[in-house]
Amino acid sequence: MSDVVDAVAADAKAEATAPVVEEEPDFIELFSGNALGSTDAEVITRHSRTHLVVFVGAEGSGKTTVLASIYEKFNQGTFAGFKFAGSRSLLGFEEICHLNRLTSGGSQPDTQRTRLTDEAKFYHLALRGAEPLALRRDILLSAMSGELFRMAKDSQEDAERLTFLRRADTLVVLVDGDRLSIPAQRTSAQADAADILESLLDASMVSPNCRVEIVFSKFDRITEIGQTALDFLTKTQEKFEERFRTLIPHLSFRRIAARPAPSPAPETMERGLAEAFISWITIISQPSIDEYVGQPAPTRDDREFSKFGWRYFERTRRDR
Amino acid sequence: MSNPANLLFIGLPGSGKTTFLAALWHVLDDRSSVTALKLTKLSGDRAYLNQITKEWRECSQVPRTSLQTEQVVILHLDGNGFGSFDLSVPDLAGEAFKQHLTERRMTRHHDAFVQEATGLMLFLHPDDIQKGTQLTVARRLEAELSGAHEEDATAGSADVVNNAWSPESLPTQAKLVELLQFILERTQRNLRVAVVVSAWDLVDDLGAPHEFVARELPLFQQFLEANEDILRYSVFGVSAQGGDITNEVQKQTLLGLDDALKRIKVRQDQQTGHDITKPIAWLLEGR
Repeated sequence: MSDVVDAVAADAKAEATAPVVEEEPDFIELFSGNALGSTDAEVITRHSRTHLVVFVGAEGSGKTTVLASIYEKFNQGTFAGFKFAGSRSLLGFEEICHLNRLTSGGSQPDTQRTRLTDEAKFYHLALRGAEPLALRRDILLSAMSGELFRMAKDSQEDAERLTFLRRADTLVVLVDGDRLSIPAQRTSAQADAADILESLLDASMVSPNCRVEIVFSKFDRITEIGQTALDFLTKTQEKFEERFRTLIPHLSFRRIAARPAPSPAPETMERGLAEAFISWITIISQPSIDEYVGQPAPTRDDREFSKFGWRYFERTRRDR
Repeated sequence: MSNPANLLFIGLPGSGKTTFLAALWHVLDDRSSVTALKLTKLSGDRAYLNQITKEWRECSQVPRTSLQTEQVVILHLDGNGFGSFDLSVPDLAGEAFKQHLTERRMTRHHDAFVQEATGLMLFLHPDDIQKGTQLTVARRLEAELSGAHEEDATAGSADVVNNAWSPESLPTQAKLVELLQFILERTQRNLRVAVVVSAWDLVDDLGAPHEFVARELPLFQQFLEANEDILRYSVFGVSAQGGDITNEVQKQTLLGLDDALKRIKVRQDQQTGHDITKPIAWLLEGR
């Protein structure tokens, strides 16, 4: 019996001391290309001056449509004075554009709704100014439902998940122009946007250096309805001005139609999106550079994207 | 071995990589035309090159490389200003690049080629460009063409079923950007990229090759320009077959030429010639 015990003990010792040989996998994993989670987005902000633009608004207010429209503009050529220099979330962009593509088989343009997921999603654009010797810029765009912020208000755990958003350089609060043009819905549309902004301020998610732009989306619907709708929009703007001006140092207003219906002046509408985009990515203070800038490369234990992210940004940071 | 150079041919299935290689081998082996690069001695194992070149000479469809038939071709070359060197060109399957996009992984074997590459030839076929047309644009065009309002133009297609999104439905320009992003991710070198628009005879009357890319693939064009600090690029239009070999009349015309070299046309900017080594010579200038 003791021989058996000794043998088992010896085997166990041999097993414990035998070197573990890990077989090298046959494949190299490539970055996923999907919309980024907070951890992956942080890798980008750690290594470059990244401008973070967060779109918030009630369901159907046009957050994802604005985001998809910006990417679609680059698909057609230079946009707002910038050239497309790359993206870590090309598949994510393509996915949100799908319902407005012929390949979707759909008959009417549509946009996939922002999902109320556990984690915020970020879309990355690397851009370079169209002029010679222009610097490269990294932009992160995120569309978040108002519901997510209300949850953050009620739960510390949910609020902590959104910590990264406190570093937003620009916050775009969308007011649904379609609902604003319908008498039965316009007061709710106004209140929804105000509530979201109030929730954000209440949860201390708006830094003093953050540009906050209240954007009346689907402006083509408002002009289509006429003076009554325009008057209500002006009234809404005045209300917001009065309520938030003292609380938000960098508050401004804008009217856009990211995907305008055919009109006598579609160019004006489209120019509106370009002007808005320039405003959203214009730095008004120190950009969001993480305190980790200049730290050593991530260890082997870090997620695969982090390693990729490091190599990519090390190669492209020379001109920053 | 003399001064080695490693080029990588990349492109989706059917983009013209193997046909280019077949025509290149015919030109080098024939040695009768003026080319920037010349063959100094025959390659060791020529079975694969001879097989694909036989098909090219007969104006037959050069068989696509499959994952099982991938080959590395070594060419012993010489050229003015380059000296003698051995050029290594792995003929990788377009299917492999498709897998990079959809499965988001690359074999270690391919990764080694990427890391050793001193230049890239990126192939695209003008007949195989998926544009990613927006419904808003398509409906507007339909309405303009029919003289109807946009609402009328959509009326007939109300019962169309939505197709689910998948990475395979990516527009061509997004696919090409991703392929280059993967390579730039895995290499530490600054690269030269020769963009080759194959079957150039189909689109030659639509302007210069770089104009074609700027017009048809604006996102890809911007990506190339905006990354000039880590890559240099030039666009070539290459007609390696010389015409549509699936059209019997055109095929007979091509077979009737007194010299098969005349089938080949290479255009860069406004210059057109028969030297198929030109894109390779341009890539090697950066060594």
